[in-house]
Amino acid sequence: MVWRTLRSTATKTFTAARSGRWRNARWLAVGIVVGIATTLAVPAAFRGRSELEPGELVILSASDVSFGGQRQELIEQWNKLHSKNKAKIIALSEGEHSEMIAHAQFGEDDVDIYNLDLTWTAEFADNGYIRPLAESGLDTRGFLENPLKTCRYDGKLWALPFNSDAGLLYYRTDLVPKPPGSWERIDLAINEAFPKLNQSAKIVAGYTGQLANYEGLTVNALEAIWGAGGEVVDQNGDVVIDDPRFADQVQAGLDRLRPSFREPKIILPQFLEHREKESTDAFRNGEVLFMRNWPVAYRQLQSSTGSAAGDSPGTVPAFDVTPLPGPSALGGQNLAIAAGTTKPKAAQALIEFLTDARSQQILFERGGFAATREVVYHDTAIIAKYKYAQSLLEAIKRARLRPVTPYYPRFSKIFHEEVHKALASTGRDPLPEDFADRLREALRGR
Amino acid sequence: MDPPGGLDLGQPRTDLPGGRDPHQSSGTERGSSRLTVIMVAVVGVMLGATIPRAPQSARDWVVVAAGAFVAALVTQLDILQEWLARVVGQWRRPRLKTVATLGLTLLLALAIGFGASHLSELGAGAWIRLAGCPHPTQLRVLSSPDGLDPVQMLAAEYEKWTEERNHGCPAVNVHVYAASANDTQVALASGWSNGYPTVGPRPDLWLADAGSEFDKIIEAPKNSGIEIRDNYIIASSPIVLGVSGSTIQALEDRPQRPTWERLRKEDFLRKNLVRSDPRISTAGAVATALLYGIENPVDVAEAREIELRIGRSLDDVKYPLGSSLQLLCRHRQLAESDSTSGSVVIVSEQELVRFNKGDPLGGECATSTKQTVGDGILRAFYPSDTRSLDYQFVRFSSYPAQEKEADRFGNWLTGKDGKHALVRAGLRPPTFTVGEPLNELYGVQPGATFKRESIKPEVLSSSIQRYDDVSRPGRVLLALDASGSMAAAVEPVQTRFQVVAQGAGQALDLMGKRDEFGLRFFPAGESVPIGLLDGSDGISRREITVTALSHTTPNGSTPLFQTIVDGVREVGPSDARHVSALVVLTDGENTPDGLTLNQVLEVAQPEGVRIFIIAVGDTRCASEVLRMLTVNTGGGCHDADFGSVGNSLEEVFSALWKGN
Repeated sequence: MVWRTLRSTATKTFTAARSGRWRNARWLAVGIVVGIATTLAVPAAFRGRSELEPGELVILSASDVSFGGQRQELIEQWNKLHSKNKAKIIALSEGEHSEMIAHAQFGEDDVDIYNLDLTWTAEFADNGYIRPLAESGLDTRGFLENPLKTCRYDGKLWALPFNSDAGLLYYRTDLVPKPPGSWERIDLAINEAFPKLNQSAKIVAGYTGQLANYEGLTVNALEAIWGAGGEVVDQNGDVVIDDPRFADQVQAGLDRLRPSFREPKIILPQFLEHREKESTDAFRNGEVLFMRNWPVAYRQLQSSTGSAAGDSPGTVPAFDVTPLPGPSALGGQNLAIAAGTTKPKAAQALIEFLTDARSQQILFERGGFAATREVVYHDTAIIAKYKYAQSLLEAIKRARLRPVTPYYPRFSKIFHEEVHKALASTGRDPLPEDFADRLREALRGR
Repeated sequence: MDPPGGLDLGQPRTDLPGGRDPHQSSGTERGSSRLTVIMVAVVGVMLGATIPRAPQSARDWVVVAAGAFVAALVTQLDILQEWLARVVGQWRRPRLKTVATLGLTLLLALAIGFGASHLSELGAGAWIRLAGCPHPTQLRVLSSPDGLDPVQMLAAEYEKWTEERNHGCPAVNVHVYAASANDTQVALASGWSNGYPTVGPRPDLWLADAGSEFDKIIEAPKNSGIEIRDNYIIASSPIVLGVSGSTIQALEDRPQRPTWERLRKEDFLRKNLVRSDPRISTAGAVATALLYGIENPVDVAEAREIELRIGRSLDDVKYPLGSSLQLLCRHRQLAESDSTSGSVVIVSEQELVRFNKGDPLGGECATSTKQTVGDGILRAFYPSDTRSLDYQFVRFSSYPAQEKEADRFGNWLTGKDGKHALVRAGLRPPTFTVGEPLNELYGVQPGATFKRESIKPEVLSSSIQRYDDVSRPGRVLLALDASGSMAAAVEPVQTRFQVVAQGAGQALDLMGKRDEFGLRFFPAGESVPIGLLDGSDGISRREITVTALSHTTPNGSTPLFQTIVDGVREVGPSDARHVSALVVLTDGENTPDGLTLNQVLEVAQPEGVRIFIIAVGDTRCASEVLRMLTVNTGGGCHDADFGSVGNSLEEVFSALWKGN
């Protein structure tokens, strides 16, 4: 029947052409081709979006540090809606980078989604451990620009931002009347506050951050150098820390993190062992005037101040936060599809679900995760619950990316190890002469 | 002589002038034919090289192509003969011609192979400069908590070693993390699903402290999907007595090195002998087996006597009840404060070296210090029948790339470079002459002799069983913070107090029948009196504890100091019958009540009550007050969040309750 129709149509077309009615026949042929193409393409396009490959979806991730395990709550919501694609999170207590790489190097299909620290996106993309997202029909306009930028590499979109993070400056409101907007004002505030301290004050130094020999120091040192106008790696990805144009600024930035031996002491030598927890403890105990930390510290400190019955935990000093004087190094995590998955459409659908505005609202409001969509920061419930929300939004918008390179872990290791040695040296040793060359080599994986 | 028939693929007659054969086809056709033969041979050899597995890198392919070219050239011997003829003229002696042809072929093969190898090296180097390093294979290496630092050092040395042989690119990235053998056993039994949240990545290999650790897991993986693919000993470290300089002289002056049994029977081991908890530490477990005797183990009474002596020494100098490194950390703190204990410490030789070198020991001694010198140095004495910890390399089934790299790491550890690295980590590889730091400078006798034979698992387990039977039971008072702040909600629905109460209730399951327990809430002061769980006093402590926990409402301040003073007095001193401890669980700082820290310590220290503090929520062990209270009483401070408070309670109580 079909064949007969086609044959008849062809005969008519041929006859029409022969009979001098070629113009009309040509349009008829075009119409037929367009019609067939449309008939085939439109359902296929819809099928592509709606038909998810069945099977369990596995997300490999760091452990969920949100209040009440909100990530798991979201997964349970997804599972209620997608009985053929139930998801589960494998959360690691530590070593998630190592585990993810090992899985990815084998390319097994036992993991569908990686929840990557944003500094790993380039490494996973460059090695083919993850696959680019299908961008057709994907609306990324609601995401904040900086977190979304960390998901792009080599011109492709490899992930969507799950949560964001930026460093904030915590300060004692009882001793620092207004937020300092520059490093010089921080120094000034410390110099002014120390003489006024009474005997019972526990203050021992002016400032602390994450200064131990680990990734936190890379972040803090980059921020200090950027804040002083220096550069380590430029926009083209070239190491410029030894560029004479930045020499003074780099030195000035690092000097801000160097323990001081004259009064008033800005940073104590033992602070070079501080990670997030230790710096929060020092601030909570009232030992420092200022602290650089992530927003999670705000919630930890806040929970210490509100005593239900007026007992002693209310000893945490009054404090507030403000953006750092310079740009923060952007933090956060990105969700990417594992290259080895056999369910890429389902995985992308889950990623889109976890990063949509509603999920981001839940993760921030109930879990305390900094959202990657701007609209969430303007929500009245968020503003009421998180007084630092606007400072955080500003910090994320002003934040800068750590060097985007497939060899970031190696780069960072060399960077913080040498910076730590320089800061710890009592002789105020400078960075080693071959430091820049080693960083250049590190950007090539050597 | 003509070339062999097998090679006669249209070769020309080389005995004619110019090497031309008038019956042959033209030069162009002949060249084309030879080229075809060569190409076919090259492709054939290259195809052969891809079976069963293709070459792994561009460099491999270059080498294979060079080999194939040589092989193909051999099929065209006449070309070589033509060349030779042009060089030396006509051959008078055909045999010499054949020999020269074959010799030239061999030389060419060697030259091309050598050149190809170097060219491929140059090519690889240039490629890396251009495109960057290939990404290293990830290797996940598990160690014991006490072995973490040395294993990290070995891993770093191995990465460096691969860099030096790979144009500066590390071939492997080793991630080292730690877990106890018990946690490893549980994780392996679950196919590692339990391991992800508690331990970390699934390991490709495990560097176990001893064969006894390995024995714990050997049964576990059978049904778990994780197999043990390989295991062997990579190094040893003898169990030694760490003694001061003056004492070692007396021991070494003896005509014969005494055995463990002789030392036990003499007065020598009657004073100030300390050893780690054999339930926690591998060195402690082996030391216990040596102290009890391997061939003729001591009876219950003598084992009890040994444990009493050790317990008294631990109490007197406020050593913690923990691992060897914790003991050595306390020893270092005492040495630094000029209050040397004079104790004899039983540890492994490697642990002693780490102490003397000033290496980090974890916990309170997390950072490096100066090398120990003078009287502070611990010198190793090796009883004549001492045994060693045999460090095991255990490789698990994993992904192919990881299995291959794990294998290479193992080969390195058993090779010369790896053995040197093991020595630098303070270990003794088999059949290898040791050097620094295993020398007198660090309190070690490099030539010490000891049995590298590990203690049989059944001997170890029976000595641990005996240890459990004779250990002093715990007498523990739990002081639970029921101040107002504990009423704060922990999302989603429970209060802080409810979470903590739940953990405390579960901890009762760890109590042995000889252990004693009491409960006190502060500030209210209600309490459950100290006694056996279900004792002869007719009180079911489990029942009344659970009832008290569920009926208490948090309210009021945090009189921490007063609670400690009252608690210490209530629990009473440690003695031959029990170990006394006060466990305080709090989320706040002391509300000033007139007592000072020194006054509290003046009460607590002479009583010999160990103070443990579990700091949750808003208070942290970084607080100097909490540190002083716990370190100076032989206790410990544990930071916990409300999700992990149960684990912290379990950790503390399992170290205290030995009264099974």
